Amino acid sequence: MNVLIFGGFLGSGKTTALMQMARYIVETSVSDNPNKVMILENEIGEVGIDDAFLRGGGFRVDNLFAGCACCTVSGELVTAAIRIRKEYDPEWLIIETTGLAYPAKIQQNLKEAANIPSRIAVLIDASRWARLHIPMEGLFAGQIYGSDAVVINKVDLVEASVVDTVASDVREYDADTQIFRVSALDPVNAEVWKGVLGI
Amino acid sequence: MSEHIHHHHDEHCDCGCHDHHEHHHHDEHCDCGCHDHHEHHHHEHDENCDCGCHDHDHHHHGEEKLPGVAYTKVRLHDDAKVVSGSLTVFGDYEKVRAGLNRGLTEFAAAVTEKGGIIGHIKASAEVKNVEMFSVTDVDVMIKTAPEQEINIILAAIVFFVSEEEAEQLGKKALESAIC
Repeated sequence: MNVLIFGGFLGSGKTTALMQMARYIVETSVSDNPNKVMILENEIGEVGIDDAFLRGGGFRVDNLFAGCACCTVSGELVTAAIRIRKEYDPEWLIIETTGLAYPAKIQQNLKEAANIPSRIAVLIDASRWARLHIPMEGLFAGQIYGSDAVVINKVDLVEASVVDTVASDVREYDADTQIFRVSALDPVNAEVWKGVLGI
Repeated sequence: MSEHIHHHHDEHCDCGCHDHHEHHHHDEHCDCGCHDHHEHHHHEHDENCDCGCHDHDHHHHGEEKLPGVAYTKVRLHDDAKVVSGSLTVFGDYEKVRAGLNRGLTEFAAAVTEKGGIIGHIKASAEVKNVEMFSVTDVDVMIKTAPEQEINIILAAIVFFVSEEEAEQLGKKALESAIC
């Protein structure tokens, strides 16, 4: 079971991008595993919106409500990952974090508690970066740090120079992460998903 | 507080002192940390409880919610105010949709006006149409229920506004959908 932790701030477009990425995995998989993708959806509130949307896309979705998988429900997340591996052993488990989570903490918890390795991809909303990255800097920096890939989303809504600024800021938080630029409402180039998934 | 210890989940209970629909639990997640799900005390809906280990809003997941009443809760996560809400209404979905749209727009504008930051404000609407099919002779008669049942869920996360303000704004947004 490959695990991708898919993080990023609230409203960055995680669920929309995830739908595309999951379809890419299903359509390009050469494995004979019948369970291509499972999605573990974490909602910090007591109700879920995204899980119903993802189910409507035909994907198998599990939920963790009322807490954040990097802290308040970290134990439940590890338990859920172990259970999914045991019961389904999908080719890919994608964990969509809450917009407030620190993916590196989730990665650490999975590794230390269950010896489950994972990759981290973080989505960023280019259109709100200028407005949010100062007041939310601690959160943004913590989300990006330790990531394998950063996907700058909604690039169609801003000038190219703004995207360059975002990429430059991202480099300050993590110099080694791979950076991609997309508009997830449009078809995303397969090379992006290969980079995100590390395949 | 009821004294007995309960075993829950699908276990049959014929003690007669309560209704199983009023139990918290079964397959629901609970992270209150104050109890073991296999051994649970139990409270009736109207019963006063001063055990101090939980609040009644958190439990009673199966509690019946009244149509036309907006239910909201707010919780704090670091600096974020996390608002969860729900509303069931019966009526014309087009009107409800327009009202909800307006309510969410006003929610967002109010947060910005107060100097807050919108993480996200999301809602989903599930619309139920009921049609009855009946046949007594040859032809099937189809009758459509005059109103649609619309279940709305609200999930909002905002920053730099108070918990009270965030919850009130969420409630107001939901109430905008009541026609």
